[in-house]
Amino acid sequence: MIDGKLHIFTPEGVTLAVVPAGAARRGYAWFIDLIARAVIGFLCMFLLQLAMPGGAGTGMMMVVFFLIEWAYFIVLEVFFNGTSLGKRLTGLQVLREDGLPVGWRESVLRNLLREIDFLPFSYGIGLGFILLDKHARRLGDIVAGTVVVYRDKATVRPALPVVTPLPLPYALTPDEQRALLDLVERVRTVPAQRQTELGDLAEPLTGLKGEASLQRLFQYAAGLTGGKQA
Amino acid sequence: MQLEALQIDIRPGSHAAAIDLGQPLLRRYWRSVYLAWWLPWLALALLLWAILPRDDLAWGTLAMWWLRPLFDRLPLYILSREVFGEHVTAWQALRAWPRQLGGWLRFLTIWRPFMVGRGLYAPIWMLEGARGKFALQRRRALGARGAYGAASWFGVACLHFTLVFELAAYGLVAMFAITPDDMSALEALGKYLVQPEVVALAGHISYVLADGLIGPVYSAGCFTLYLRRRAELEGWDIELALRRMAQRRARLLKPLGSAVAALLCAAVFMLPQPRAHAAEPVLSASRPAVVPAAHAASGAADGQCELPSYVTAQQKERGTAHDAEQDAVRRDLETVRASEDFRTWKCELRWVEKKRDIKAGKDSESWLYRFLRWLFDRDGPSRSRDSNSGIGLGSADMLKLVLVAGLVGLLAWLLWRNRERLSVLLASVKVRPPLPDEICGLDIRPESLPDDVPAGVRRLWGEGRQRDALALLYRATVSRLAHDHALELHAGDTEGDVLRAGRRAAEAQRLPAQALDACRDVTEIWSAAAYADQWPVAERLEQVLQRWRSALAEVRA
Repeated sequence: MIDGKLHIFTPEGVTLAVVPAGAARRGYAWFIDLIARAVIGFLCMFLLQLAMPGGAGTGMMMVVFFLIEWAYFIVLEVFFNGTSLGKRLTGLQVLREDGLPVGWRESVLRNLLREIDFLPFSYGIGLGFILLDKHARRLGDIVAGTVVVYRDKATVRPALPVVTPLPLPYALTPDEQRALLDLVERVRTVPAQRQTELGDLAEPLTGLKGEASLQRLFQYAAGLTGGKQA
Repeated sequence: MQLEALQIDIRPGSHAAAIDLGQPLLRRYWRSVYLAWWLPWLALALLLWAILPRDDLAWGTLAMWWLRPLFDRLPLYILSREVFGEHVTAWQALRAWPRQLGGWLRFLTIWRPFMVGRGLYAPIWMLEGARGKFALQRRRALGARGAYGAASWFGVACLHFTLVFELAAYGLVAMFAITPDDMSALEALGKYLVQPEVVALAGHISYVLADGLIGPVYSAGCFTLYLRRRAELEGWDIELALRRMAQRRARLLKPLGSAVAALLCAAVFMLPQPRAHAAEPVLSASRPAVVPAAHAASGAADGQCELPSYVTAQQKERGTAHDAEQDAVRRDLETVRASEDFRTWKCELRWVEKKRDIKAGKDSESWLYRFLRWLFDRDGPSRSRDSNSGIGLGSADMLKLVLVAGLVGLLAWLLWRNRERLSVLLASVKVRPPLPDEICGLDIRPESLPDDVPAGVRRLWGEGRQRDALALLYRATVSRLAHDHALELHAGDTEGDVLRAGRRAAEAQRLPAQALDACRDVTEIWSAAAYADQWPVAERLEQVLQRWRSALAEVRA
């Protein structure tokens, strides 16, 4: 089963699933960062030329350019929870492979290796690695042990209809209970005819058919959630 | 459509994650997909190169870009079948290609290649067979909720990925074309790219290479987006979940109905752990596995090995049965316990290494002899004894021996020369770890204590600060033990740990018995006071202080 997720096993025995981000979204993030760095660079150039015209300004400019090139990503990733400006706007985040936030070591490594990923020109190696790697990591990510993932958005659970709760007809596994809740939350979004079909499919569980079967499922779900929101 | 056979997870998620799913799918079937793409792709590229005038090859490149929507069908054809478990070869896809093209020729409009999100709509025509107004409705439904936007942005990204690979191809060539006189690699390349026909040819080659790599990526990404979108619209994952529930229900009901006698028992044991079958490997891993010896292999294949020793021991322990009835009950019990559901051991057939006779001669050779043989006989017996066979060692061998001896001598000399530094290194291992500053939350640094501890204790006791007095006494005791008697204590030690460490030290003659007695007394009254609120009478405290002074205060004075 291909699910495109990275499953992290914590020492407590909990499995966390994060979704590594593919090449396209990372490309947008990089482009936003490119523009941000260009703007910062021009602003600094302008201000420095005003403040100290002549050789000193040029020298300072060199330092600023160096920092924009090498420190921009590192500093932002370390201090802003693994997000640079572009990553923040596109909903991405750098994590360590064990799910922890990146520190100096990882961030410095992955961003120094940008130069290798950039080879032979315009991120050819980096793109190749992202397309080939299982978790869409470029070379820098592989070396630093990091992975770029989608940041989770808080999901809004739809309101369930208020019905009389019923106990389950037989014991369901936790997975099945989750599937049942998922079902009742989403079943109303599919076409009416399809809803009836799904109701028929639930017959072994409810002993009913069609819409009546769905109603029974809603009651089971209410029994699971105690009549409250899931 | 066999939803159970679906190879990818179609639970709803973000559009971007859905598009990303195309990449693992493509990686799984890359052989047939790329083969099917590249055969016509390369043929077309070569054909255009052959028939077009050299200067006008750029028009050929443009034509390939314009025809790309036709090539998108090939990965889609393969992946859409493989994803449901149906195997398709590249050749089958190519055979089916002309039929797939049919209606598409009229779609080869000027704007089609510019329609960057076209990949999302391709399956509507190709897989669903929708035409006309119905197709329009399907497009509206599938493209809703930002799906078409996501596909379009992915198309834009893929255009740029093509550009990235084209530039990378130029860059790769430039890395080899650069000479020390050039300012940069691109400038070096620029010297070669002057004639129009060379520029056109380079552009053609790089485009064919780059888009031949990215084209299937685009198709696959759009296809998985399409799948997820349809699954979301039609509740595929809901259907799958319901089907699985029904299957499990059927599995549960079968054993319940079959054996009436075991009905109660089965119901009790099966319902609380309905996934017993799925969990089997995990459970058995935690049990002691009985590995049958090699000669029991035939029995093991039938699932009947000898009972493990702890089971037979248990059986023996019970002795003989009182009467026939008990014997029968026992046998019944044994059968139940030996059945697969109840036994605590597992019978499996395994390869076991045979016991081999170790050749006596080999290991009795001394290591020096073996080392010398390794050194000189490595190249086999055929090489040795070339010219001066009578002497044994050739001149090259002599040189080798001298060099090895020299190396050994050099190592020995280095060790001798650095012996002082090494001895410091060795000694430093034995240095005691620094003493902790506090134990049981009490500060035990000597400088934190008053000079005359018993007097301080008496003063505090006299002032009515009994707890402070006893705390000071205990603190001083631990401090003296740690600093004056070199007792090894750690920051996390409790009163009991300290006492135990003291007892160990006393047994090893590192701590005088008096000091240990004093420590025991103090610990006793301190623990009773601190944890049980049992305060000592003044006489008892005085007695303890006396002993403390004689045992622990002496050293300091």
